[in-house]
Amino acid sequence: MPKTSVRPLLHSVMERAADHLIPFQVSLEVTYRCNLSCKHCYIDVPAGEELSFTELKHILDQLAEAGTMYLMFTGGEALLRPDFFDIAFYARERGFMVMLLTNGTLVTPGVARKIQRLEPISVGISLHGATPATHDGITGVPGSFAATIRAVELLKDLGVPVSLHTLLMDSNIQEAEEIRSLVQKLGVYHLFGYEFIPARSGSLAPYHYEADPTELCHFINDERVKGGDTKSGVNSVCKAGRGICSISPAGDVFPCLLMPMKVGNLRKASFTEIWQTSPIPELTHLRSITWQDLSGCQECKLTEFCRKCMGVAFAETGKLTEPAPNTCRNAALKREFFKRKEVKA
Amino acid sequence: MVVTIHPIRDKRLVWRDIAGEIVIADRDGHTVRVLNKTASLIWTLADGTRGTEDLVAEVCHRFEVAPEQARIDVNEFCQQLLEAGLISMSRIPGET
Repeated sequence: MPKTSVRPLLHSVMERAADHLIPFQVSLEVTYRCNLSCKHCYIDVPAGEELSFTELKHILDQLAEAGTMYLMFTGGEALLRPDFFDIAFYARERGFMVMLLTNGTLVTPGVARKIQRLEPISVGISLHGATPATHDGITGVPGSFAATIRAVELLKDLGVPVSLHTLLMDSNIQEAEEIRSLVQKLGVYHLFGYEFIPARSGSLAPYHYEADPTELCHFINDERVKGGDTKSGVNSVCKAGRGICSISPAGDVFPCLLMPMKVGNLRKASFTEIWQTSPIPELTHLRSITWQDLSGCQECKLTEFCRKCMGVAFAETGKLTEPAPNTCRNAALKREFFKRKEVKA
Repeated sequence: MVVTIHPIRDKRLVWRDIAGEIVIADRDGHTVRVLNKTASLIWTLADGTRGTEDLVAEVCHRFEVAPEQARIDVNEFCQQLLEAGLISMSRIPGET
């Protein structure tokens, strides 16, 4: 037996899982309800009747059987569900590595201790500004900034791995430096993002809040900006619908969190039927797509700057293989930045 | 006197069988370890009820290798897992 039989290889494992249609990473939206009203929120569709704890337990059993290892709880605001910890602890019992996305506002000292006991591999929290005026202005709820900061402090004090995320937009980009100082003071991992996604209905309304491209240019080439520090163009298709999957509060199954293409419902069919034994033609088609099928992207000069996402393309254009206009704009913006940088150099 | 050692997986670790290869997540969840097919078999059987000689017999049976070679493989692999903190060893079946 070679000594290399034990090796850290998350990326290749995910590839292998995707090749065998094993949903290695699943996003579970436990509710669409939220106590905030973020102006750029992408959830603009009704949730339907939420899955009960009993139904979710059955789904978690099926996912464990199917080989899912990473499970991300999200919403809406997941902590709004009174049975959230019943669900989450059951998931831990079934041997999932658990992640949680939350706005943090419902994290009291007691909730923080429960999260600590859950041993999540990360708790992702959105931070929209460095001041109450900015953050609360975006969430639409006075007091949300203070509650979010308190959550970060409570969780950090308990040793919970917190990861903050800020989407740079028109109303907070002026505060980017202050946000950096704040997260430094908080002492937690933080990442800026700048790429908006369409709403679930296909509406482009969230894009109204994008930051001015000229201002964004100052931030794109920064290691603290998601996808910004290198050219890092995408020239392969993603694992959506193969190694990645998303489940809505009512049990609808999607190829990923960003691709609003329903491929089945877990109240009507088992996960194995939806994912493996009887996939609908749309899912089969998604799985058959190769980079060569993305005709609009083949000869594009922006490829090396582009973070192509079939989910965004589908939401924006209704077609998986079409270029997504917003992604193209972001790639052009990035190219512009690199051009300026090279001229300066 | 020959002492039988019983390897026992760390029950707190999350692991999955991905198309015949065992994938074990590290406790922080950010890295994984992937075992080859022989190692995967040994890991699956390392529930504390079997001694290393039972594992050797199983490896011989599944992979058609000589007992001497299987013994070397099992011992080497168990040593690696022990050093990585993924298993413990017990002289009594089922105990850590």
